[in-house]
Amino acid sequence: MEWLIQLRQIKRQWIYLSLAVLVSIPLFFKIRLPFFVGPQAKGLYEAVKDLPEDKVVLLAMDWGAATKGESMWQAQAIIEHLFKEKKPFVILGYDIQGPQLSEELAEKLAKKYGRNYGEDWFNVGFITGGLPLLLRMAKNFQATFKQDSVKRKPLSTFPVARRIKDINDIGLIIDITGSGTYGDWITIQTTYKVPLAVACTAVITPDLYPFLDSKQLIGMLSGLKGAAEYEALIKGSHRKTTLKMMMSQSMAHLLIIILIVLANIGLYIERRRRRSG
Amino acid sequence: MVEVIVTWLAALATLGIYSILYKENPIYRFFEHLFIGLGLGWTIFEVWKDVLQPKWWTPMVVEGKWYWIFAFIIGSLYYFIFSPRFAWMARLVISTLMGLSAGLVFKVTAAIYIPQIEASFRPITFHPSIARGINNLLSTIILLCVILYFLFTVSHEKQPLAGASKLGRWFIMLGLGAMFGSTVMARLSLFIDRLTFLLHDWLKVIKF
Repeated sequence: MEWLIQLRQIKRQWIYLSLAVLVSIPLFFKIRLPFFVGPQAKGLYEAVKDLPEDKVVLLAMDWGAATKGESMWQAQAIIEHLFKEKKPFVILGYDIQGPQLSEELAEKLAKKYGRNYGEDWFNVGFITGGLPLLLRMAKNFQATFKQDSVKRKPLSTFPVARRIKDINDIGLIIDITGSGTYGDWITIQTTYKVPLAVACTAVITPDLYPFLDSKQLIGMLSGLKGAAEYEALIKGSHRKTTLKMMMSQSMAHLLIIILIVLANIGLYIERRRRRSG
Repeated sequence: MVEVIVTWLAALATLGIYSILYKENPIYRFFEHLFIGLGLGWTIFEVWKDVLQPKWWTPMVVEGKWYWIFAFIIGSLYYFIFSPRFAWMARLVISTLMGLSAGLVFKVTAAIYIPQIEASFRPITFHPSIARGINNLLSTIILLCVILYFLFTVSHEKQPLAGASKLGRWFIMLGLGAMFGSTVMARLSLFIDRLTFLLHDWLKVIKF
């Protein structure tokens, strides 16, 4: 039992190293742990599938390089689904980097599915102004965003952009976020009754469950798990990659659980010894 | 060739940042400052490209809407915060924005929380679904216990409030545990993404 007490003194560098090794194993070898698709991801998937033909999807890309490990995989899966289903969409974002990083993803996938910029999708780019800007956008989209961010041309030059006059032409809002930006979109959802889904980093997930219960959100993707679930649903190009990454995640969780349990047993033994003198 | 150089730079930057896990060192500091600098540069460029140039500069200079100069003048008043004598000018702008924000907070609070308050009133009936009935009952008990925990104007020393608020504290701790679990999951996802990049894109030792 001495080793259990000693375990609590282990240098943190060894824990990091063992974590790195364990996380790498599923990337090298085929390891299958249980994985299932939750109702939150299915909610978003169904909403995209059932989107009326005359509506456009609004993708709020409120993420940047700091949360790329989660948000990029989510954005990639959602954009691929939209291209697959031939649902038109517009990209914008509160985050400086989000719209540009998403544009790169969309360009790659557009080539694969034969979709064209301006006809199937367009990018408004980085936006500032918070909720007042979104409220203005809801009333008059064309006056709020005069030009796109890629070709820097007036919105009227793009067929898909001409379809959006106001919020009534938006059939679904998906906020892909690494921060608390969903608050503004929930305000828009409650005010104008536009279906809203959030793809967030796992840190934010517990905050969002009440919004699913109150039906303010029709779906949610939680971190990398959400991306893997969505890739599985759409049979996407990166489903194997995201699934492998999820196996790595499960291995890391197992290690953390084992270490917490062992360290607590060690602490318990140490306390008992101290008490008995 | 460019792609190879970019991948190598990204790999070196990733390793440089993760070197902090061993101990504090100058390589980590270098890459930390590099990221901050890059982020700031990117921000300045994007703010100009997507906001200032199309919404302010072009209308004012190209389209002849000269009155947009007032946006610059009013915005510049902010900087009088550094002058004790003229700080009142900065307060004009700050108080206007505070008023605007206060008005919006009412809208946001109502939009976010009223549907949730509505959703918290759940029918405790086991018909037609027993599972839903149990779920609603549990949800109501948890909600009441947690609210009771925050009821500070009444003594929590006597029963039944003592037991209920203690239970409320346990439920809060369960919630915080879920939050901690999610945080661990999020941080690990970022690490796994970087590891995938290093092994797949840089070293090319794994295939998907």
